[in-house]
Formats: sequence, C-alpha cells, structure tokens
Amino acid sequence: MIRATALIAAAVALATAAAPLCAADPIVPQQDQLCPPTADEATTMPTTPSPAAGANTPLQCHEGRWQAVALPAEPSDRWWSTGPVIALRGQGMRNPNLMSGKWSGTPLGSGKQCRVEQRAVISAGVVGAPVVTDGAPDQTLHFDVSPTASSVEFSGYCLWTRLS
Amino acid sequence: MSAARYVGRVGRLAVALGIGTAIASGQGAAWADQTDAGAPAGPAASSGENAGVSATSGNPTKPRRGKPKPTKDGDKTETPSTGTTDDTSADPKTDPKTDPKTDPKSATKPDKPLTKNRGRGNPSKSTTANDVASTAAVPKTPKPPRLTPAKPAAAGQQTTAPKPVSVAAVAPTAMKVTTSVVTASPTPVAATTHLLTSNVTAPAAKALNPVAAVMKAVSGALNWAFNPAGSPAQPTLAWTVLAFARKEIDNLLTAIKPQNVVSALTTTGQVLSNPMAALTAVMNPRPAWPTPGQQLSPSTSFVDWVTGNFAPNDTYNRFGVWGTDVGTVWDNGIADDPSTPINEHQVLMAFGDTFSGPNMTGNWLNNILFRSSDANLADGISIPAGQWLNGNMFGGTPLSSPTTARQIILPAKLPAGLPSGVTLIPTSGISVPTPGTQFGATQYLSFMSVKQWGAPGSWTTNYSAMAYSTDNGENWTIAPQSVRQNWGGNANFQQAALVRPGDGYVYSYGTPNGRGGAAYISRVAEADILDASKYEYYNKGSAGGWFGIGAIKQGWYKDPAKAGVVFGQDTGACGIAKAGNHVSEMSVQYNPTLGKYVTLYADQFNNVVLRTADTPQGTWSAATVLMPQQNGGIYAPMMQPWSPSTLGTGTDLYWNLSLWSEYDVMLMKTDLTKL
Repeated sequence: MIRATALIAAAVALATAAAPLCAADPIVPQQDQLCPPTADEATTMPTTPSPAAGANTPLQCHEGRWQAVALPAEPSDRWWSTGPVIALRGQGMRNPNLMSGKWSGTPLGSGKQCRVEQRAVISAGVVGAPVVTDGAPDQTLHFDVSPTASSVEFSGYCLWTRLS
Repeated sequence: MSAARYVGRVGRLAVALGIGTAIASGQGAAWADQTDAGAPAGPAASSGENAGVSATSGNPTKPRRGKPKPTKDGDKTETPSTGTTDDTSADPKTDPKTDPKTDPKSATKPDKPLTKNRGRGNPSKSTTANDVASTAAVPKTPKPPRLTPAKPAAAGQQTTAPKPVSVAAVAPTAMKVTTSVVTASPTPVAATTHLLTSNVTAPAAKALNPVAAVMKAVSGALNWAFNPAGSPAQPTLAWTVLAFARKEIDNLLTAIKPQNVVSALTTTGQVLSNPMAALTAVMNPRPAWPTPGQQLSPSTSFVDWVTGNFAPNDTYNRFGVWGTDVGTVWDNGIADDPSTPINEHQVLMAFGDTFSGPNMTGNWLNNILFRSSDANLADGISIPAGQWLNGNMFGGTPLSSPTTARQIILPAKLPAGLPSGVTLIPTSGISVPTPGTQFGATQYLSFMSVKQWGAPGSWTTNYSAMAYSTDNGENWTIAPQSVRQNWGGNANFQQAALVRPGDGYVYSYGTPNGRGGAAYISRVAEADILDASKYEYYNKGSAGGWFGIGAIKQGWYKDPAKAGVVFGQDTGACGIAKAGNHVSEMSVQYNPTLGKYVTLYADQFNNVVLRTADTPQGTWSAATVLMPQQNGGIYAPMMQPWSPSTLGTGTDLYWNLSLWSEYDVMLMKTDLTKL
C-alpha cells in the first residue's frame, strides 16, 4: 500500500514537473527575444505594464525578434496574445492601438480559444458596459470593433487581425 | 471543535454587516424627509456644508475671509516681476500689474478696437471688395502691447473707436448661470466621470505617504458625508461614526502637530496645504527622463514636471491626477488683493483627458484646470493646494472632493442638440477685462469636441466652441453662439490659439482637426468673443488664375471660407520637407523681448518649432526648430504668459509640453538668445 502510494506520488510529481516542457503554451513576448514566424509583423502589449508608465510600449515582431515600438505607436492591424489579457485602446482614446472595423481572432494552438472584451465611449467621458465575445475552441472568432471603443482586451493564445 | 466559536463569529459578522448595511444604504432616508419649509431635515452641519458647496463656486463675496492666513511662501506666490514700468515691456494680458479694477483705462473704456475699421460700418454686412479695401487700414504694425494704464493718445483713439457691445451685458447672465451650475455641479461631475479598469496594482506612492493617506481617507469620508449627490440623506449613525473618526483623526494629528490642526480640520482647504508641504520629501521620484535642467537642444532645456504622480506637484495624491496633457496656459487678468492670503493674480492652465491611474486608467475626466501664482518659473511651476468648501476660487484646481480635481467643461452643459463626442479638449484660453463682473475679468476657453481619434496626429472633431467663466475658472458656461461645426470655412478653426494684443481685438488662430493642416487667423472685438458670427478672417490676397479669376484682395472678411493660410503647408516641391510645414496644437503670444508675435507648435517631424511675425496675421517667418522630436512623443507646446521674455524682463521663454510616454505635462525653457 505504501509502495503504491509512493509510486503514484512519484508519477504525479514527474508529470507535474514535465508539464511545462510538453505543453504548447507560448512564451510571453519580451523585448529582443525571438518571436515565432506566425507572429511576423504582429504587435503585442505587455500584460503587466509598468506601474509608473503613462502609456504602454507595444512590442512588434520584426525580423524574428520582438522590438519596442516608438511612441506614440501607430495602430496595428495584427495583434498577438499569448493567453493573458492585453489591454488596448480603441478610437475612443487618443493614439489608439487599433482601428475600428471587422476583426478576427484565430486560435494558435489546439484546443485554444479567443476572447475579446470591449468598452465603448457612449458620450464624452462616459464608458459603456463591457461587451464580451467568446470564441469556441479551435474556432476563429469574428467581431466588430466600435469607432468609439475605449478599451479592447484580447485574451487567449490568438492572432488578431483586422479584416476591413 | 467548538461550534460556538463559529456562531460567535457569525454573530459578529452579522452585527458588522448590519451596521455596514445601515450606513451604506442610507437607511435613514426617512429621517431626511423635507421639513414643512422644504429644508432638508438632516443634520444642520449637512446643510451648512451644502451651502458651502454653493459658496465655493458661486459666492460673490471676497474669498477666505476670516481664515487663518498662511504665508505666501508656501505657495511661492510672488507677483510676477514688476520691475518693468516700461509701457512697451509686456502684453497687457500678461501684465502682472494690470488691474481692471484700478486701471482707469480698463475700467472706463476697456479694449476697444483702435482701428477705424470696426467703426466704419457694420462689419457683419460685407465680404465685398469695398469692405476688404477699407480693411486694409487695419493696423498692420500694431504697437507692442501696452503694459500700463492708458496713454493719452490711446485714450483719444478709443473715443473715436466704435463701442464694442458691452461685456457687462454678459455678466448678469453669466452670474445667474453660474449659480445654477453650482447647484448642479455634483451631478454632472458624477455623470461624466468613469472608472476605467487598470491592469496595474496600486502605486507604491500610497504606502509612502501615510499622512496623505490619512488625509485622503478623512477627506473622502467627509466628502461622502457632505456630498449631496452621492448621499442624499445622511443617516444619523453615519454622522456618529464620522464624528468618532474625526475625533480620532484629530487626536492623531494633534499628536503629530499640536498647533493649528483642529482649526485646520475645520477649514479643509488649509489642512491640505500644510501637510502637503511636509510631504514633499516623500513624493515619488520623478521619471528617469528627462532630468530637471537637462538640455535637450542648444536653446531648450527641461525645467521640471507640471503634472504627474511625483515631485514637484504630485498631482495624483493632491488632486487625483496621474496623467493628463495639453496644459494651455493664460494669465487670468485678475489683480492680487493684498488683503487676502492668496495671490489672486494667477495663470490658469487647462488640460485635456485626465486619468487617475497609469496607462490612462482610473477615473477619467475630459478636462481640468490648474491654477498657479508662481512667478518664478526657473525652478518649475508650483500648483497650490486646493480650496474646498470655503468659497475661495483661487485654489490649485476646481475640486469635486478635497483631493480630487473636477472636470470644468461638462457635456451636460452643452447646448441642446450638440453631441459631446468622445471627449471635450481645451485648446486655448484667454482673459478679457469685464468690469462689473465678480473679479473684473472673464476667462474664455476654446475647446474641441472629438468625434474619434485616429493614428497619432489624426483625429476628427464634431465642432469647436467656447466656454467662459466669471469666477476664475471655477464654473464654466458654454456659449451656443460660439459653436463652429466642422464643415465649410469653420473646418479650419477647430483648434484655437488666442492672443489679445491690446488693440481691442482678440485674435483667434485656427487649425483643422488633427495635426496635418495649416494655420489661419480670425479676429473679433473683445466684447464679441463668444459670437462666431462676429469674427473676421484674414486673407493675404492672391492674384488669381487666368485673367484674374479667383483673385482675392488682401484684407479681413466676414466669411470663414475666405480665411487664407497664414503659416504652415509651404508650397513647392520641398514644402513638405521644410520644418514647420504641418501645424498642430499651438500657442501664440506677443513677445516684447523679440518685439514680435511668436508661435510655437510641433510640426510634421514632431519637432517643436517657433515662428515670428510683426503682426498677428504675418507675414510669418520660416520655422526655427527649438527642439527635435524626442522619444516618447512630444506635443502641444503651450507658452507661459509669465515667461521673462513675454513680460519683457528677460530672454527666457517658458512653455508647457506634453510627453505621451509619461502622459504628463512638462515645463520647458528656451533661451531666445541661442536661437
């Protein structure tokens, strides 16, 4: 009995230790680190922004590496999220990170799904309730970004593309 | 296992929840029923404080009567250098000595157009060549702005000038409206602010400021208790708890600083100033870049920060302002009253979108106002403490709580039918003497309604308009007749830069929405500043095409569509490559040191450039780069009216500049001798 318990415990410990090596979870982008080919020319935002910053600095996958974008950054039509929320500004705010229009979110791993949460400015200084759109696992998510979006939060391991 | 122990805990929890619910739900609403006379039946103190709210914004009596008088040192409030008595040394609007109440010229015949143009006929009639020809008599070389009371010659000219519509006619209305604004102010404030979620944990600054935290908690509680909108009826229990808390805080602060604390707590504005002065040492450090005094070009250096959750002003802990931008600044034109402890002669600075958290999160205000009497800009500009519920309108900012700045241009006050857009951003302010009003001067603030933002430097406006205030910027009214929809000729006047040389006109430069356009100019008699239909627009003239088709004579026209470019958008193959080719947020002043009008703006390369001209309409010089683009994104260079070169007392020009990466406003200095 004791031997069986020890065996099970060892198996669990081994499985737990090996999990990160076996999983397909993406590496959180960091400046000057390599970026995958699927992220080419895509932009991402730090998921834990500097608490002192006035404006977050996006990273763009350019020539195989994540590179800091000069501020104020141009809006990007391709965003890359690795799981945790990346918070972006829409055209309801100065220097938006992304433009309004039709967008898609494509999962980048098996069983992954995409999620977007938007808020729009409904009148000067007043932001509406969040609108959440969840995609199904392995399914591309299609949605519209409002011309007065104040915040757009992407999450999931996904590539986000502006279609029009 | 003792079940009784859990029962005890649950019991305590129930009691706590019961008390909490009683306080939070304001279950004493029934106690707040109106009396027969219609007065609130709540605690007398509540009524008193509510009355104080009105007094803060609309009390016409002299502020701060009977308050303990702090020294002016705490505020750094020296009246700007008055060493210059030379009447050519400064712009009247920036003249520290200008006192509309005592200046016989201002008091009797304020600011009438000196030119015969205005008197010759009804300017609103014509856009004809006749009119244009006659407008050629417009002063092409206006004299340097007058500093001091009237010269005999000027007075003589004024007698022949047409009498502008009396501004006093505006005053009673303004006062009346102001009163209503005061009454309603808490509601729109609540309606126009929004909590944006932050991904960032609370700043360490909070922990570093124990006294500030205590003060914030106390003031927050008092604000909650006294805020008629947030808490329509004050439960007796809440008052009991608050009284207990206040007593405890009294004890605490008395232990820290026995003197004056009790009296300070009774005058909340004062309690803010003393502890904050002591707290300067524990403010967050400034951002790593730029460092105070750092030279950013041969002529221009960074002086210090104006806003931010750090030294020197710590606008976060003091006013709930973590980040903001723009900071258009003007002289309020109100003379100091030596019998009061605060220097009423101030510069007013209007800011755009303002957030209480980093990365543009937290509480969002579309616009705010800071005030300062700091005349020594060499070591930065200090923003004094706020004045809360004491009737004083010369504190560091209009407040919605003892430590929270209040939005000044409210969407709820827009004329009927106008959309608010996503935000209302101030673009330029100016003061005009208005004898008979509360402080003898009215503040005017141009703003734009942004429909939506685009790529950096690109945005679309719904319209521009103007708001005015007769109480030093505490309460603002939006003038319906000032609205310029974003089409036709008015599309070139969506963002303004105002200058008042003293010839009876206010000159209003305009640019289209965004930063890709050129600058145009209009003018209006000071008394008509709120009426867009009274403006005239300058065109330098053109020969036209074949056979003179499309020719236009040089002059001022009533039609905004006839406004011609005064600078920006240089033509020719190399035009786009020239510095200053695109005009963005800009400011204009008369600079006696240079003997010229000066404009500052950021161009298509994000350089901050300077142009000069002998007259408001130009011809404007080529652009000189003061400072190249900087990492992080710079924009909106807004000149300080109390710069030595603007006062005619030196060669330094100070200006506010927004830095996008920090989303705060900096104070810059340019040595004009090094251009």
